[in-house]
This record gives sequence, structure tokens and C-alpha cells, in this order.
Amino acid sequence: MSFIILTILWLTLFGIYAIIIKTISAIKKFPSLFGGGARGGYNTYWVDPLSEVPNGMQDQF
Amino acid sequence: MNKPVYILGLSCYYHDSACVLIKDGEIIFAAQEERYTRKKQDDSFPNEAIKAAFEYAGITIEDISAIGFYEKPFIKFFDRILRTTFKVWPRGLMQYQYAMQDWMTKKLWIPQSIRKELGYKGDIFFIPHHESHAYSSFGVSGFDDATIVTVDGVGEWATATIGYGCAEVPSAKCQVPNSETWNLELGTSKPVPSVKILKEIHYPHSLGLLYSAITYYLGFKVNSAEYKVMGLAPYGEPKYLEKMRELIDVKEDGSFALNMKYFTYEHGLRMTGRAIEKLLGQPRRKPESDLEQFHKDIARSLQDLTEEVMMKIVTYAKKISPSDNLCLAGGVSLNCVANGKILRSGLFKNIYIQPASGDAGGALGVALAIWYKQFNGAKLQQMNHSYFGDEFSDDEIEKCLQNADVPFLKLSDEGLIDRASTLMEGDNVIGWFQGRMEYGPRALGNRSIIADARNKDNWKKVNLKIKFRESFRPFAPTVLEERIGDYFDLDRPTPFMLLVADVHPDKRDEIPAVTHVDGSARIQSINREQNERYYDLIKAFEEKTGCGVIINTSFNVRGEPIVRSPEDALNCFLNTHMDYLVLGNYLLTKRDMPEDKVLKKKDYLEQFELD
Ligand SMILES: [Fe+2]
Repeated sequence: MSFIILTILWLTLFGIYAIIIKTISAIKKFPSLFGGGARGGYNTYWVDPLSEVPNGMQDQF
Repeated sequence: MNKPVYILGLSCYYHDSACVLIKDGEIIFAAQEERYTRKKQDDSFPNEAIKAAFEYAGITIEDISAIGFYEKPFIKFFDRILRTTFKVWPRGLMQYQYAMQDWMTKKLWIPQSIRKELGYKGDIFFIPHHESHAYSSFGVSGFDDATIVTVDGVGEWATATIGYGCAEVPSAKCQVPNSETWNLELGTSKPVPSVKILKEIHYPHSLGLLYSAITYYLGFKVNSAEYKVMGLAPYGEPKYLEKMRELIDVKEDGSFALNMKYFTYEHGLRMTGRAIEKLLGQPRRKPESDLEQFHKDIARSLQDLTEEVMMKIVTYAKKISPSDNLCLAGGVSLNCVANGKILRSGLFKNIYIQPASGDAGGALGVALAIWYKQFNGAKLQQMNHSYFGDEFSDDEIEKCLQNADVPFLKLSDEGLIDRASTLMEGDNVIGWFQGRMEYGPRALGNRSIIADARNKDNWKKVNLKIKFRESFRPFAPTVLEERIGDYFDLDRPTPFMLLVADVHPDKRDEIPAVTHVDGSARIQSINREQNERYYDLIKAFEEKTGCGVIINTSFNVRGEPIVRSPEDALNCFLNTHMDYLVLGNYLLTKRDMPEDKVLKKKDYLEQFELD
């Protein structure tokens, strides 16, 4: 993909979606949407892994 | 007769591509692609390694029962990478450009690439990156149960995990001791190892990336030269440890979060920026510029911090998934100083770390996961050597030498051991090329440069005149397994050079070339079952000198992948100040080489990008 097409996508699609996501995050005061930040008042930073999908080994997700 | 089950595990497209072939649960072949393409840490599809694996096993793609890829690409891209792109927008345009090109053209098409490159029509499996790491260690540890800790840069989201592995007769349920939170129903009649990940730490918070970021700050190459920082650390004092605590918040349970204002890898093409320079008080070191005491102190502070976090993680891991055995994996578990500290803490009776514990090991992990999970395959015995790559017969070696038109001498087996062990005494440096190539980043006696550990000058000679690398870099010893306790503060074998222990104070003067400035050594032990010829060589050296320890470093120059073939070994020999080369049963002497063939080192070294 060319540099120009990717840049247009970056400015439009990615830009709009990023602004929406950032706005929602700000409203919900939910910084951990993106993985959280340091010294956020947590007791632990360990999280539970995603639950395993049965027969999920053939999936790429 | 039943058709054998062949499983091919693959890791590629990030760094350190590799393939592993297992047949009915036995590792047949394992190698990294870099050894074939001669491009260090090559990340391309491991076509050449796969070709070599099939040739070695005498099979074709039609014989393969399953292929596995060592991570889940869609989770990585659609969840982590896109989400991070939105998070950092409008920054990160260049990183986005590179990432999109890479993902759109290669990484989102892994099954298609596998089918196209190999002409394969069967099943393809994917498991999470850290599960691959976990299987790559527990799956060949030989343990019935183990606490598993994996720590690296990043997989999909996870950068560190705690897990539990068990291999029990599956009439009962397999569960984490003292826990009722989950059960593993194994459901077959034989012990099958199984791994369960219990806790994770997620990107961008990563101990591996913290180590890489400081490696970058110190002017070394990321994903390649982290071990230089580890080697540099003993020259420094932990003067910046307190300042570094500003970079990372570590909880008592070993979990941590990075203070992202000091790191730029989420949106930039660099790991760190101005903020860290301001915090630590100096600009980033220019690659190849002089190393000052400041850089050594930074390395030491980082190393101490890493050890502290690793100790907390394994302590917590022992609490939530208790076992006497610990399996470590992931790039950070190549930090053998931290590994040695964990061992000495006495928290675990046994520790197992597989030699390819970085991402090349993911290929092994996914192959094992398929064997255990899809085929209910029986538990493998403990992997206690890493000789799973190519080998060359004496005929092939002789042909290579004749083609190169260089003089050589063919010796008998006994004659070779006798001659080589005699030559090793003093200041000769020998290229030692034998048998099957090692899997993983270490040369363990088949693609090695060896020398007398009693001669301190050999440290300088091998670093500067043979490897053309930094003078501070330490050398590792190989010691006869039965003599470990005579030289080192260590009570067990360490066949993969993944544990650091102190040299006994009264032995430091005897083996100065492998004793680091702090009195420690990164030890490889060897017994005759693991590698008969290498063991016999050191044994013969011991009989002549009384010393059961030699220098062992990888057979390459700086920036070059370890040699694979006799041609690679001959090239390296001719273009460095190595004194002798032993290829199988053939001995080459540098002073007998035709003048027009030796030391065109400039051309030779220019082929390899400095790390
Ligand atoms: Fe990894």
C-alpha cells in the first residue's frame, strides 16, 4: 500500500475513530481501555488471561 | 504400520525465525533461519530451515500431520496494534506506516503464506505467544508439574505470565495446588503435559521492553544486544537504581507498570526520548562511541532492577501455582544472571530453562502444544542438549576443503582429540566445528571457538582479534560436569549456559579468562552423553593440564550469525586471527594457509551489520 493512501486513511478513518474512542474514554473516565498507566492506584497489575475458546487452536484470534 | 505423526512448529515475521520438526513426540530437527540466510536474527519465513528439516528427516510436506504458528496474529493486530494506534493518534504516523505495510502484506496472511510457501493442505494451528513460551519450557522439562513464568518484550497483549503445568495420569483432574479456580480435564489414559496461564501483565508494560529501551539508550542494538548490557553491568555500581524506580512501579506481587512518559515505543520508531535523558542526566550514547563509567552504572542499575522484579515475580508465582519445579521462558529468561539469583534463592528445588527460550523457542512451544493438545501425545523426556540442526559428513567437509584449495590434515578420532587438546594449551585459539548445529542463541560445543581458560590474554585476543567485538565482553566457560563444584558455586548441571554462578575465590586465578570482573561466570557444563567429542576434548585437556575448564564462545564474528556449514566456518577462520580450525576430523593450521586466502577481513566484516 502506498504511503499516500495510508496517510489519507490515517487522517480520516483512523483519525475519526481515534477521536471517538478518546472521547468515550474521557467520558467514562476509563483510562485502562488502553492498558492503563503507571501508579494508577492499583494493588496489582496482574490481570486474568482471556478465557480460552474451546477448539480455538485453529483460529488466529 | 501406523504412519508417524510429524508436526512442524514455526516462528517468524518478528525476529529470530525458526522451525522445529517433531516426529511422534521426539524432536527431530530445530534451527533458526538466520544460520542459512546469514542475516542475524532474520525474521523471514523459515524456508531454508524447513528445507533442511525435511531433508534431514527424509520426508516431504505430504508427510506433515500438522503445522503450528507460535502466536495469534489477529489478536495481535486487531486488538493490540490497532487499539494502540488509536490511543497514540495523532502521534505514531511513521510507526503506523511501517506496521501497516508489514501486516497488510505478510503478517495477516500467515495460513496463506504457509500453504503457498510449502504447498501444504493440512491443519494449521495457532496458540498464544506466551503459551508457546510456556510449552517450550514445561513441555520438554521432564517435570510432572511446575510453576511456569514467562517474561519477554511482548506477545499479543501479554508481556509476562504466570502459569501452571502438570502431566498427570488423567483419570484424576489436574489442578493448581491450593486452588479451586480451574481444573484441567485431561481425559486420556497416559500422562499428558498441559499448561494453564493464570495471570498476565499487558503491553505497554513490559520488563523485556524496559530492558530493550535501556539497551537502546546505551547505544546498543535492540532485540540483539541486551546480553551486552548484562555483561557490562558488573563493571558498574547501581547508582541509578533509585532514579530507575521512576520508570517502573513494581508491586510486592511482582506485577509492574511502566511510566510511559519515559518511553516512546508505543508511537515512535525509537525506544526512548528526551524524558529519559533528562531523568538519567545524559543523552543517549552514540553507537560505537566510548563507554564511560556512567553507562556501566546504568547497565548495573538496570540489571539489579531486573533481578529484583524477576525475584518478586517468581515468589508470587510460587504462591499462586506452587510447585518444587520452576520453568522459565521468554527473552528475559536468557538473562542468566537473574536466573542464577532465582536458583540461589532456594525457592524452587529445580529450575528448567530451554536453550532457545527467546522467540525462536516459540516454534518448539507450538509444536509441543499441538502434540499434547491435539494428539494427546505422551510426555517428552527432558531436553538436555540442543544439537538439533544440520550436520556434515567428513566427505562433505573434505569436498569443501578441496574446493577451497587449502591445505589440511585428516586425523583419526583419537589423534584429533590428542592433537587439539595439546594445541589448546597456551594462547592458541581454535575454531571447533563438529556434529549437529545447536538450536538457540548459544554455541555449546559444536559451532564454537575454544581456547585455554587459564590464559588471561586469551580474553583480549578472542574479543579483539577474532570476534572483533567490544573488549569488555566476558567469555563463558565449558566445564566437565563432574567438576562443576570444584570451580563454581553451583551444585547442578547447566548444559545451556543459562545460569551464572561465582567462581570459587581460590580458582579465579586459575581460570582468569572466564572469570568476569565480579568473580562470576556464565557456565556451560558438559557430560559425555550430551556431546561425546566435546567432552573427550576437555577431558583430554584436563588430563594434560589438570584444568577441566575451557573458554567456549560462539563461532562467528560480531554481527554474524553462528556458522552453519564448513564453508561458513572456513570463511570465518580465514578472515580472523584464529590459529587452528578443526572441522570434523580435519585440522587446518593458519600459518599453512596460502597468503592470498587469509585476512581479507574488511570485506568479510562489512557483510555483517554491527549489533
Ligand atoms: Fe516472546
